[in-house]
Amino acid sequence: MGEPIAAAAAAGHTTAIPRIPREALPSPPLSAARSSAKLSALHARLSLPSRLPLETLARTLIHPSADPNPDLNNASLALLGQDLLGYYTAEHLLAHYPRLPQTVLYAAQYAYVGGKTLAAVTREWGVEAAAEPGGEVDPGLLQFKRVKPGTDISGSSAGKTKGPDGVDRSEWRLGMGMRNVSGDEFGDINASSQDAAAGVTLEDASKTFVRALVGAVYLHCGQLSTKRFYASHFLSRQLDLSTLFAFRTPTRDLSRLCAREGFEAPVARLLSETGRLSRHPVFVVGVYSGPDKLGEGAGASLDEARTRAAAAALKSWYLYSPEEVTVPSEAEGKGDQGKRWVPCMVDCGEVIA
Amino acid sequence: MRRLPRLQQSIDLLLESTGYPHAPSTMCRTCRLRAASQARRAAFSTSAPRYKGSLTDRLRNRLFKKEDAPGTGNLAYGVAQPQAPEVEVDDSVPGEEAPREYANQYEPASTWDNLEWVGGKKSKRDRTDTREEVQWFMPRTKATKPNDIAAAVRRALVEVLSLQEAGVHFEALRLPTVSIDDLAAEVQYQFSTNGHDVRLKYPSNEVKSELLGSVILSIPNAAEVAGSESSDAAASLEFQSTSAVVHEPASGSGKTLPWKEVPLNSANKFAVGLQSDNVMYMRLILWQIIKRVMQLTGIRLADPKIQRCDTAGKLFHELLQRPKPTKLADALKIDNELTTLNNVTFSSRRVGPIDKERQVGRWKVIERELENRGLPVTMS
Repeated sequence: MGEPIAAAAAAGHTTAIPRIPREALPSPPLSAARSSAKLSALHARLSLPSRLPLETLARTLIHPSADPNPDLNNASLALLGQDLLGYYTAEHLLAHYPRLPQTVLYAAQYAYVGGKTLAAVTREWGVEAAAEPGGEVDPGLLQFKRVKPGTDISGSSAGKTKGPDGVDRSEWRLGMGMRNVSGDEFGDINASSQDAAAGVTLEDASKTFVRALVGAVYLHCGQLSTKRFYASHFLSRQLDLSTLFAFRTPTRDLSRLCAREGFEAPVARLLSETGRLSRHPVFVVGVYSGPDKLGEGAGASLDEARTRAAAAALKSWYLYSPEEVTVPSEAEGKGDQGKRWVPCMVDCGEVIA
Repeated sequence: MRRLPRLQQSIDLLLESTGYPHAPSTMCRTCRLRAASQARRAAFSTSAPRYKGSLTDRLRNRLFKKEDAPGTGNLAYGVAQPQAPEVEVDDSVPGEEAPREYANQYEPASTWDNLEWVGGKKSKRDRTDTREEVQWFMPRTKATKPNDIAAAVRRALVEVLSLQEAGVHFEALRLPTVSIDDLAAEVQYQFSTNGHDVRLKYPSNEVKSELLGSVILSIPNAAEVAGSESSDAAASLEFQSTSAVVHEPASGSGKTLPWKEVPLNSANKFAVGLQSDNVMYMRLILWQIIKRVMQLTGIRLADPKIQRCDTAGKLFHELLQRPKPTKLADALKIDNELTTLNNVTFSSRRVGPIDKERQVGRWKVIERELENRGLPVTMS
């Protein structure tokens, strides 16, 4: 195949390739990745494996709104990375907190790998965004077509479209069953139904970049490096799961829970108090199931203290974590690479009052 | 007494209120005020009016203390000398009448079509001096390859030393158009019998004649050289020394030197016991070799470097030295400490705001918007 070309070149019959200006390209060429200082600095800053080439890193920074060519943008990598992030986060939460309610699980999932979190991660990584995508732009910049000013981006998620019967269900409250069946890893429905050609926000572009980077690391470096990258950049973020709970009737939920688990009915007992007749009294109430104290709470009134004590008892139940956990992804691999699989605890579920 | 310039007088306010009738609307307020001030100054001035007539007439009248002094009319020795047409002295105040003519003749330009264009390649080409270019002493391109520089040094050695042996003035050197590298490679170098200078040892007389023929423009006759020396008492020092060298027996001491060990600055070494003419002559040879090397390589050597060139090898070493880079980027590229880092980028020129906007992709947007508004784009 090379001989005719070489012969033609030797004879002087070379075909002149028209030189396309960089500005005419939708995204930087792959050859520019090697000469970008920003890209190399990002590669080093994230401690990415050397097996991940700079060209792939440059591709993860190109949003489909900048370059619609699927071979050059990060859409496919982002799809893989999204599944990987959801998988690793879900297995971590479910294995370590097997009694988490579904709503709290969705909230924790979003807190770890949600859109706003990934955008914050992008900022922390020091990734800057280009003002306008193009071939002349430094490949180390996040490139996407920005949404035009004045565009309403608040209602971009669920319920924008009408149903087959023509009824607008945008104001309807989504049930947990529908979120479980039709929602994504965060329980949202049609969360990413935006038109990329019309432009995206910086948050969407940042989210896509982080997902694509995780996918690229998985493809080039394997699962072990991906897990290490995920643990160092996402699981290392501190998240207080107890703040994600919101009980409406904690006392009733606790009674149902005790009834379901075969415990004695919970009893609230006043442990201590101060300033009952003063302007700011404080009551400390404990919730007991027989001789066992389930929870304790303090409040300005007896009812408030009892409610807080019941909520504390419910949180201590739902936030139970086994001591030794083997997540499914750790057991993957052949031979000695994978850990021995120990089945995880599976809870019967939350109490539905 | 000369009046002190001042920006505004109180009368200006009154004048401004009445308006200056001849001031065109294109004049700014400051210019109008200045013109009005000058007009008012002329009206209220107490100084003597300017005298009509040439300076000579005025001086003559002043000397004779009368108006019709003898010689008025530029009569010298009773003969009327051609006199330049008398120029009417303009007594009018500059700001009084000029604006009226200005207003009649001045037509403000709406486009730049017929205006003189200053700057750009065309303007530079129009203003370029069309005289013949001066022939350069050295080529504009510098030799960079070590082989080329070594060949140039060897050629300069052979040329200058052969001229010295032939007793020909150094100005008879040809311009470096013919290559004599092959011939120069065959020549060997030997110390002379007195041990002070170096002689060339040719493999054959044919090589010698061919070499001299290609180096020298015209070989003068030895008798002519001697005759000219005797007739011209004020001959140059180098020529006297050259003739002195001619009369020496051209025999070597037998020890052959590599070309890099050929001494160049032996005048300093053998200065003791030598006559001052001989010392000057050795320095002249050194200078001729340096000058020829500069002509051949295009590399200019500074005086301190020339003083360090004791041998041809040191001269070759000095010529190999790269000049100190003038740009920071070039200086940083010399040591590979930073060039090996991937996260460091070098730029041969200053990274300006346009470059920064271009790196983030905003410059094309700015360009597009400027073109849409019909405004010139700086960069294109």
